[in-house]
This record gives sequence, C-alpha cells and structure tokens, in this order.
Amino acid sequence: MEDFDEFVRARGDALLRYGYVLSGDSEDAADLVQEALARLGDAWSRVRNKDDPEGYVRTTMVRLHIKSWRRRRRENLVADVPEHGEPDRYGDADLWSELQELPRKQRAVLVLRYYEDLSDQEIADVLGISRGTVRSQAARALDKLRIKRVLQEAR
Amino acid sequence: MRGEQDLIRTLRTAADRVERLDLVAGVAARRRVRRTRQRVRVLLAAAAVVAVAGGTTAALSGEDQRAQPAVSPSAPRYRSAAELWPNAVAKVPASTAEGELVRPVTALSATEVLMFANAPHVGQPSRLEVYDMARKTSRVLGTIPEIKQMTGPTGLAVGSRYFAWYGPRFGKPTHFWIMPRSGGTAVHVAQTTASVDSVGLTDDSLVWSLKDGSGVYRVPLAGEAPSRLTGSDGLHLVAWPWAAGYDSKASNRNQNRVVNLETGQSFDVRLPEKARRTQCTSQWCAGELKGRMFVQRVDGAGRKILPAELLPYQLRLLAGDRYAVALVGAGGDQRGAPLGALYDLSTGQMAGLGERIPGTSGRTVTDGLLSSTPSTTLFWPSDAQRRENAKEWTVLNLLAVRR
Repeated sequence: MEDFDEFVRARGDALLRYGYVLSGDSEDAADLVQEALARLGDAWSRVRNKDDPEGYVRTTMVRLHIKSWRRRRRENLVADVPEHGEPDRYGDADLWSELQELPRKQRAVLVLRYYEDLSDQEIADVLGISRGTVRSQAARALDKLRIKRVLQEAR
Repeated sequence: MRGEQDLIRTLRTAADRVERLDLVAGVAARRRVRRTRQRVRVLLAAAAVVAVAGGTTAALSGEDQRAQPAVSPSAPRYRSAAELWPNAVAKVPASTAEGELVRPVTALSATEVLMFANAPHVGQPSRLEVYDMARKTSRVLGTIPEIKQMTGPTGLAVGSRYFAWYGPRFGKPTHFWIMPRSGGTAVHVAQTTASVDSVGLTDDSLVWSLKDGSGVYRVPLAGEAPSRLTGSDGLHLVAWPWAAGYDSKASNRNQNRVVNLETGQSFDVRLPEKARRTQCTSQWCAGELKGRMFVQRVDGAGRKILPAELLPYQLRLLAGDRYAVALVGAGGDQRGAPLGALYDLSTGQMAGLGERIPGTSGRTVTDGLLSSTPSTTLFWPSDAQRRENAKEWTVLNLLAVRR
C-alpha cells in the first residue's frame, strides 16, 4: 500500500482544497477527504490499474457531500483539523457566505463548473444527472448569487 | 451585478487558505475502523441470534441492516469527570464579548486555565487570557503580535515565569516570543529559518526542537546567540527537560527513546511488536496496537490494552503527566454515552468526558492543541453545537483532579 500512501501525500493538499470549496468548512473538508480516501484505499488495487484514482476520489467526495454527509454521524475521526490559522473572512466575504446558503447540489454544480472547470456534460456524468439539470441548477444558483451569466453561454 | 469571474476568484482564494494536513494517518485509521465495523456487525448479528435462542428479546432492524440487540453490549458507561471531580470541571465561554473564538490551551493551576483568543483576521494580533474557575471570570494577559498568514501562534509553552510561543507554521522565518506569566507586553526573543516542531522554557532560556530531527536549540532570555544542545541529535522536545526520539519519520512512528536533556539520561522505550504511534511522557506511554489503544510504563511494565470502544484517534494520546485520552466509539448515537474517556495511568481510574447527543456531530473532545507540551486541559462543546459554533466549552482541568 506504499503507493497509496504516496498518492495521499502527493494529492492530499489539492483534495483538501477541493473539499473546502465544496463544503465551506475545514472540518467537513477533512472529514470528506478522509472518508473518500479510505474508500479509495479499499478499492486501490482495482482503481489504480483501471481508472484514474484522483477522479475516483473527487467523484466520491462530491457525491458523498450531496448525498447525506452532514446527516451522517461523524465518527470522531477528525482529529487532525488545524485548530487555527484558518481564516473565516476573505476579500469576497459576502459571496463566500452566500455560497454557504445554497443547496448542496447547486453549490456542487458551481464548484465543478467554476473551480474544477468541468463542462456541463462532465458535471452531469460526475453527479449522475442530466446535462439539462446541471444547467438549470447552475442558472438557479447564479441567479441567487446575483451573478450575471456570460461564460456559461459558451458551454 | 457580479460576474462569473468573481465566483471563480472567491472559490480559488478560499481554497488557497486551507491549511495543510497530514492525511495518511487519518485515512489509515478510518480504514481500520471500516474493517472493524464490518467485523462488529457480523459479531453483533451473531450475538443477537444467540440472545434470541436464549429467550431474551433482541431486535434486528431491517431498515439499515444493523443488529440492535435489546441489551446493548457496546454502550460504554463510565462515571463522568464532572461526577468524579466536580471542582476540576468548569463551563467556559467559547467566544469573547467581541465575538472572537476562545479556546483553552492548558491549565496554569487548579483554578486557572490559560485561554487563547483567535485574531479576528489572518495576520492580526491575538490574545492570551486566563480564566478563573472559582470566580468564573476572565482576565486579559496580553496581546500576541500579528503572525504572518495566521490567526495565532503555532505552539505555546508555559514556564515558571513566562509564556513562550512561535509562528508561523509555514513560511519563514519562524519567530519566538515570550510574555510574563502575570501578563504584559510580548518580547521577541529569537528567530530561525528552520522548521520548528516544539517550544519550551527552562528557568532562564527558551528552547525549541526542529521537525527534521536535527536537534534541540536553546537561547538565553537575557539575549545571546542560540546554541544547539549537545547530544540532542534526532530529539524532539516534549516538555522540558524531556525529549523524544522516534523509530522513523513515518506518521505512525513510535517514540523509542525518552531523554532528559538536563541530565543527559536516556531511556529506551520497550514496545510490543506491531505498536504504532507510541507517545510517551517521562514515565508513561500510550500507542496503538492492532486498532486498540495500549498503555504502559516506558520500560514496558504494566502494559495494558484498553477496552475496544476506546479509540486511539486523538492527535495526542496523552494529556498532562499521567493520563491517556481516547475517543469513545459508542456503536451508534447512544444517548448518555461519553464523547471521550480519560484513563489515569497511575490509578487505573476511568472517567467519561462529555455526553453524546443523538443527531449531533462534530462534537469532539480536544486537548489544548496550541499547547506545545501535553496539555492539562481537555474540552468539548457543552451544547449541541459543532466545535466551530460552540457557545460554551466544558473544560476539565487536570491540575485540579485529586487522586
């Protein structure tokens, strides 16, 4: 399993960042990343040879997050959350806080589109929904955030 | 009206502020729990069948495929710390009047707890306060000058006359500061470009050790050049004068040496085979053995494997000078089960910490992580809130625990 640990070390930071923009919360991000990586670890021999491990983790993370994450019982395994140095205010503080108010699926669509830079079809594949649903969810979310739609017309 | 670029920038900026985390150990722990849980599920199902055969009622929930024996075998009940030592437990506000987050760091005496108030913004000053458990009041000790890209220091130590701290965690250089224990102005003592992993205080000096194991350094508070302590190669400061040597650089490394930096005495830790993450104070050790928590004396005497529901998943397995700390796996959201447990290594006394509230999550027991040395306070949210939203902490002051 050495190469799995190596993968965790190499990609952990990037996955945490992704978890953080998905969930908006560093503790949830650590929880989400660790759970998704544990699942990847269990499937490692299969995924390593056939699929793209990072894609597997990212898909697991977003699906877990949308599905039920907060409702799950946290197993008290989040021992490693950094205790400080964790800013809660940004230059774009208002927008960041409004993002927290969105339903999970809408927020996930925005993260996949604007952070992960995926096309609407790729987002549809990751979330297991139709491309039309991706577009309507994104449009609704952008309207709520009062963001003018320009780039998405090209998608 | 905002543009999509604003959204992209907001997401990227937020992502870049996330602190790094060593995920390897956490992921491994979680995978072990997943495997154990699968085994427990099978065992519980078997137990339920036996119970039915014996004429006792047992119920198997069809909904979630989880066995739920009528008499739960796994809901641990320990006498709570508040019941055992009422004078050692206090409720402390989790935020200041200005709304800043406040957390216990470590106990200063049987009635005083050192508290840290986060800076409201990154790169701004933070604050040290002392909470008096008898009077139920807080007093400001002084300001911690701003630390680059952080809302507070990385580690802090308490000496007989001063507090000492260092930061930032990443980025160079790392600065060391002190403040009188009675409060006052912070004084800059030293800086280094190496990566620091611990700080401590002697009567007249500030000491620190380095992440890469290249030694323990000392700088007199009176102001002279720092020097490396002879014989400190490979050692990491635990609590002056005690330092630790490890068997590897892996995240699940075992401490295999306990060294007194003042006298030069060195003791080898006698470990069971397959031990992981062993940590020791001057006398006691705790670690992980096949998913269970074990405790022992440094020389291996009195080794004991703790009950299976005590999970060795705290960042630090030891608190104060003689306590092991574990999280409690209750096998479901069981009302009344504790969040964590404290085990007094010298007396064998077990105490429950906090109480599980069904339907809540993220309420964990934490020690004062800012404390560079094993903290003498443990705390958890008093209410049903997650840690970052807690309004009040319940704090256990280990210096007030009577044997």
